[in-house]
Amino acid sequence: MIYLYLIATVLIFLAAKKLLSPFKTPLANPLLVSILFFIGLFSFTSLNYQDYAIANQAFIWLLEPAVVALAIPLFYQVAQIKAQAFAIIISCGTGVIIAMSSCLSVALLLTDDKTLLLSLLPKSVTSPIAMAIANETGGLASLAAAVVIAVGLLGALGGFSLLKFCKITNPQAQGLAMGCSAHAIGTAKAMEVGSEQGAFSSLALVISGILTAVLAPLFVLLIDIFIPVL
Amino acid sequence: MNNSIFINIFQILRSILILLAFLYFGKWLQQISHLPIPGSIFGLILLFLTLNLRLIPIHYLLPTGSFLLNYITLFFVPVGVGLLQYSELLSIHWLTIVVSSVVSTIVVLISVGFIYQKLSK
Repeated sequence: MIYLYLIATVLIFLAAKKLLSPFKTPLANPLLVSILFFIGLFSFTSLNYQDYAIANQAFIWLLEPAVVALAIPLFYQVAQIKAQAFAIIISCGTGVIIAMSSCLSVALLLTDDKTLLLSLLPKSVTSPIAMAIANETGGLASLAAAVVIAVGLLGALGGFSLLKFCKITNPQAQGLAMGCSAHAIGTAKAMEVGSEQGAFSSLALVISGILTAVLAPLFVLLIDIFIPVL
Repeated sequence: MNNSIFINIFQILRSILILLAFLYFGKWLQQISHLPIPGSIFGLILLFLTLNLRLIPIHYLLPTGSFLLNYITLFFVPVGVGLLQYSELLSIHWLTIVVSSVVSTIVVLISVGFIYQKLSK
């Protein structure tokens, strides 16, 4: 009967979506509220999280074809993408470098745990890429995945409010910023806001994912300089 | 009446098959290339190229494609609940993780948005 958890995921999410729709605050996010509901449920009751995980594998599995389907909004925006190719590459490239260098420099102030630093490095890219990078560099794939999910939620929650506050109102700019900083979870949010935001977020997700995989080894060298191997 | 149901089922199956074909071709590419890029991203890129070369018309994809994209946020619920598995790791390193992630995410959001807004048009 554990498959009731699958139905529970749908019902809680749809209920959260319905009940939260009148509230304008970014915290009234159906994804966040549903996640917190289930985390609370398994933390404070004797219900078993493993059963939930098994039952909900179907949704985890559906994420893969859903990522392939992101080609659809991209295709609809292909004219704009071609027209802005230069600006897209420059802003995503800069974004990837800023993502890794800002994360590292702040983390270096707080820790000298090399495994932790290496696991934080790919925090802005989609979790399969982040886990592969962490494996490659000597980070911890599971820690990298956890950080990636947390970062994605953070971007999805606060991203659009922050962008509006900073007068970044161009839908393409908003999409690229979400995809570069909050990968697939940010892209899911961007799809809800608008198809142009969604398409540019998917684009940034792909470009920044690939660039991060290519550039991460350089940042690993930097970590080696700051924290010599013992 | 009956006919249109069959046509609908055929269109849904066709869209499922195309998406799965690209996904598994992408996974195969990932395996033979050993690149740290997931198969689904390879599939996305290949499908995008195929659509642009007009090898497959976009409406072949829409029945399943739009459905998946409409519910993509729902699929992330179990991903987020999965943070439970990492509660020990997260509780040890929470301060470093939270501070560096928050600062870096804010900086990336603003700089990418700002740079693109300046460069575009």
